[in-house]
Amino acid sequence: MRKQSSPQFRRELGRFFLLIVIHMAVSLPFKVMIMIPGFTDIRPVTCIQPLFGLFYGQTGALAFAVGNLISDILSDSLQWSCIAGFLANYLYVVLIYKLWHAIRKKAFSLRQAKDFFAYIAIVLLSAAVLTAIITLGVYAVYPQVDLPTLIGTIFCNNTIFPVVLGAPIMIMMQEEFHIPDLWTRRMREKEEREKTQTP
Amino acid sequence: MNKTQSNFCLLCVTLCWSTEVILLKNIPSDVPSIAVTALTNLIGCAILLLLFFKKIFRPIPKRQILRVVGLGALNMIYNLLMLLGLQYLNVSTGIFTLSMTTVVLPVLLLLKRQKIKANTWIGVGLILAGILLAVNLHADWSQLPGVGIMLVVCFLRAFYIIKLNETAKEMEPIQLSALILGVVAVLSIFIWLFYQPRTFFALTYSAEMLSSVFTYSYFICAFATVINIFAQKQATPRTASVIYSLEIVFSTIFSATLPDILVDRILLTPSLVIGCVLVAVGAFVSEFDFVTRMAAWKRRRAA
Repeated sequence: MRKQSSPQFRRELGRFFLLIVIHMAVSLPFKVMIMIPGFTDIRPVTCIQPLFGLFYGQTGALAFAVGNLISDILSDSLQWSCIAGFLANYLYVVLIYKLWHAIRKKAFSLRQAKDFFAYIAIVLLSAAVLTAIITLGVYAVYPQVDLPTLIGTIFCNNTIFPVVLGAPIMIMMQEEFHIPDLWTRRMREKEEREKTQTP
Repeated sequence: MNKTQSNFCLLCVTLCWSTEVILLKNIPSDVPSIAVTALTNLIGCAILLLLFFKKIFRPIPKRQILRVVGLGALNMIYNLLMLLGLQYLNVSTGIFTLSMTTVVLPVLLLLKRQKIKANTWIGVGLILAGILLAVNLHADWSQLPGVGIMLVVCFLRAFYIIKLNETAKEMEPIQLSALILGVVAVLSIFIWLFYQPRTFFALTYSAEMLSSVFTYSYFICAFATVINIFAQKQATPRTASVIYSLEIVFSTIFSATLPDILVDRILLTPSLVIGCVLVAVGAFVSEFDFVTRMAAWKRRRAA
C-alpha cells in the first residue's frame, strides 16, 4: 500500500515549488545584464535570498539553489562551475538564518539599529563564504578568469541587493502583512504541539 | 513600521531611484521617454495587480479617486518635464538641480504655515550649497533653459511629495501605489498615442532593452512606489525629501565607480565630491535635531 505523505510535507513541497516560481519570476528578466559572460551577472534576485532563509528555512534554501540552477539552464549558462554555485547558494541561505538565530537568539525583525547592524554583518559574512566557494569553483574549471571582477561582482550582488531590496521587503512582510518568520512559526508549532499533548 | 524602519525604507527607495542612470543606459535613445514611462508604469501596475488583486479592488470613495488621479497626473507631468529639462543638461547638473526639491519643500511647507525647525534650515542650506557648488562649476549658459525647467520640476515634485504624504496616511498603500502607477500608465499611453500612433508596435524590442524595462518596472515602479508609500505613512514630507536628496550622492557614486558597460561614466572632480559631501552632511543635520538634543543634554548635566 502506498504511504500517504503528511500534510506538513505536502505544505513544504507546495511552498518549495512556489518559491522556485518566485525565483524564476525575479531572476529571468535580469539574465541579460552580464559582466563576465556565462559566470556572473547583475542579480537583483539575490534580494530574496535572505528572505527565503529567514522565512522558509531549509525549504527556502533548497528552492533558491534549485531555482538558480534552473535559471542557469534556461538562460543557456550551464557550466561545471554551477555545481559550486548550487552549493554556495544553498549554504548562503542556510547561513543567513542559522547565524541570525545563533547571534540574535530571537525571531527575525528589523526594528532597532542593532537589528540592522546584525543583519548587515550576517549578510557580509555569508556573502564572503558564498564568494569564496563560487570563485574556487570557477577558478578550478577556468583558471584564466578575471578574478578581481568575478569576486567583486559576486560579493556586491550578494551584499547590496539583500540589504537594499531584501530588507525593506522583509520589513513589509512582517510589519504590514504580518507574515511570520521561521523562528515565530516554529515557536507557534511548538506551542500547538504542547497544547495538544497536555490533557 | 517604526521611524527607523521608515527612514531605512526611504533610503532604500532613494537608492533604487538612483539606479536609473544604469537602467536608462540600456534603453536605446530612439525610444521616446513617454514610451518608457508608459511601459514601465504599465508593467509595474500589472505586477501589483497580480500580487495584490484583492487589496487593490477594494471600494474607494470618490474623493480619494480624484486625489489619486491628481497625484498620478502630477507625477507624470513632473517626470515628463524632468526628461525635457535633462535634454539641456549634462547628467550631473541635471541630477543635482533636481535635488533642489529638498530646498523648495520647506518653503512650500512654510507657505502652508507649518513650523520648520532650525536644524532643517541649516541642513537645507548645506544641501543648497552642495548643489550650487556641483552645478556652478559644470554649467554653461546653454544649460540655463534646462535649469529653469528643473526648478519648475522641483516645485511640482515638492508639492507631489506633500500631497502623497497626506494621502498615504489615509489610504491603503498598495491600492494607492497601484492606482498611481495605473493613472500614470494610462495618461502616458494617451500622450504616446499622439506622439507615435503605433505605440507598442513602433518599438524595436531587444533583450537588453526588455531587461532594463523589466528591471525598471519591478524595482523603480512597483517596488520603490509601494515601499515609498508605506514609509510615507510614518515619515513627514520634510524627512522624505531630505532622504530623497541623497539620490544624487548615490547616482554620483554609481556613475563614477561602476564599469562602462553599466553606466555613462562621469569624472569625479573635487567640486562634485565636496558637493556630495555637503548634501550628505545637510541631510544628516536636517534629520538630527541639535537644539532639542543639546537642551536635553544640558538638563541631564544640570540634574
